[in-house]
Amino acid sequence: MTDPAVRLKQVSKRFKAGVDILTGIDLAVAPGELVALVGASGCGKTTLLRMAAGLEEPSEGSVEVLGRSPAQACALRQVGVAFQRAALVPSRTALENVQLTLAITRRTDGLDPSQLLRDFGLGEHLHAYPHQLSGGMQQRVNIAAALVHQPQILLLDEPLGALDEITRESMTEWLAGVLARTRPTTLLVTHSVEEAVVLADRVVILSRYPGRIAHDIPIHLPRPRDIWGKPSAEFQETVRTVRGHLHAVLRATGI
Amino acid sequence: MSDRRAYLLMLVSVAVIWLLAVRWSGLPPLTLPSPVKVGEVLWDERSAMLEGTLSTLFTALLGYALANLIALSLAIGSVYIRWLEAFSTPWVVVLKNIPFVALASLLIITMGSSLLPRLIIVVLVCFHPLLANLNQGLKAADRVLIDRMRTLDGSRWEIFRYVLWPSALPYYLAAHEIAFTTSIVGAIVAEWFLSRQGLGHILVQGMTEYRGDRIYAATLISSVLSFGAYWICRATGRHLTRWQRA
Repeated sequence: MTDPAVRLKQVSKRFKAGVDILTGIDLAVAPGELVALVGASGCGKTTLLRMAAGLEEPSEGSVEVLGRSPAQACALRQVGVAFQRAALVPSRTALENVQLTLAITRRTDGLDPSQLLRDFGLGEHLHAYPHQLSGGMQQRVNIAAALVHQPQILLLDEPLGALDEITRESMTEWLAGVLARTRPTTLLVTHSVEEAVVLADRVVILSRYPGRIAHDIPIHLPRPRDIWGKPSAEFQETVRTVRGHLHAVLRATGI
Repeated sequence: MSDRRAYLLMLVSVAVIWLLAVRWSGLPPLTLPSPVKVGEVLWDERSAMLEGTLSTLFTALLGYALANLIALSLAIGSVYIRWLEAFSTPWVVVLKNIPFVALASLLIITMGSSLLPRLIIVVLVCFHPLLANLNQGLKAADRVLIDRMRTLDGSRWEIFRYVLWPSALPYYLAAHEIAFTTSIVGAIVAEWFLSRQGLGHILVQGMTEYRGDRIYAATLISSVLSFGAYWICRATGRHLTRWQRA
């Protein structure tokens, strides 16, 4: 069996105030697999993702990325991260922001930033500054900057969370296409069950106080998964199932 | 109203008020000379005025450069050395709030009228806005962007270059508009107390000799210098942050 690309073993996270955010998390993500983490606010999804990115240390247990510590995986420039708010340098154009990833990672085998942005539908906006772009466009640049060095691991923290409903729908479809082409091992944090089901190979539902893995649901739907046109009965049933589990977890934690 | 029109209106207003004051105030020419008389002094004593101006500029620029060096060192140092800001803040607050006259008096009795005490005064009057704004700008840096850099294994230098400095720059530039002009005012006041040269000394001479025309001439020069300093800072700032208006 192939070694997991991301592995969390009995991971717990306790903040300084003594609050347990996560406890007993066991999660293995296979190479090329896309796992979506869903759960109520405060269940520790983002903390889990930040631990995988090496931005937080677990209080107990261990996190391995590509068989190493997350910091070592980052040092090998094998990790790309896109946060909910586009992390772009305001004084640099869209193209320069994507080029910045290559400059910092010193990767010579990365994708062509101009071509990547053109593929992302931003060919007309290569030289626009972030403040000249819409929220959806900024997020595309943000994801391009996370992908341009061709990382083996992609960590997405609600990348579409700040967008309006319509933009979010079209961006979900677009993101599904991008991930299908690039196929990195991906951990996706999202609040949207539909988004999780469209994009993921597995949906992991976290309970909270403290966050634990309550359900780990494989998604066996064929791709591409069209939900905005005519979603299949199978797709709708999967969404209902995931949502049902999520609501049961929320009720159990008193929400 | 555009900036240019506002400044033009200000210049015309000052000239008109001055002329009206000369005509109607009843003050003797000794204390309120006409613009023409001040112009004559500027021309007739151009050599002394130029010498004084250069001396003031030298003190102001050197003090300003030192103030920048200290402010940049403290602000950037505080990013990487956790205790530095906590350690330096009480010193900064105390030094900033020492009465100017007390400080000048102390400097006169300890150092005489050399360049050093004048520089100390200029540094003390203009470094605080630089430090305060730099601290604010560095702290305002996008934490999410810093996290992104860390996941790319960006070095401290790269994080500083690509995130911290671009964040601090607009704040730093805004501080220059205050600090650069203040350095000129500080140099003149320091000369007033501590020097036998510079525009400050010309003002003292004008006062003791009842030469209102010289006082006005020196004041006019110092205003032009301060305005020039402000304009240079503003133009440089607008150039460096032109992306904001793109």
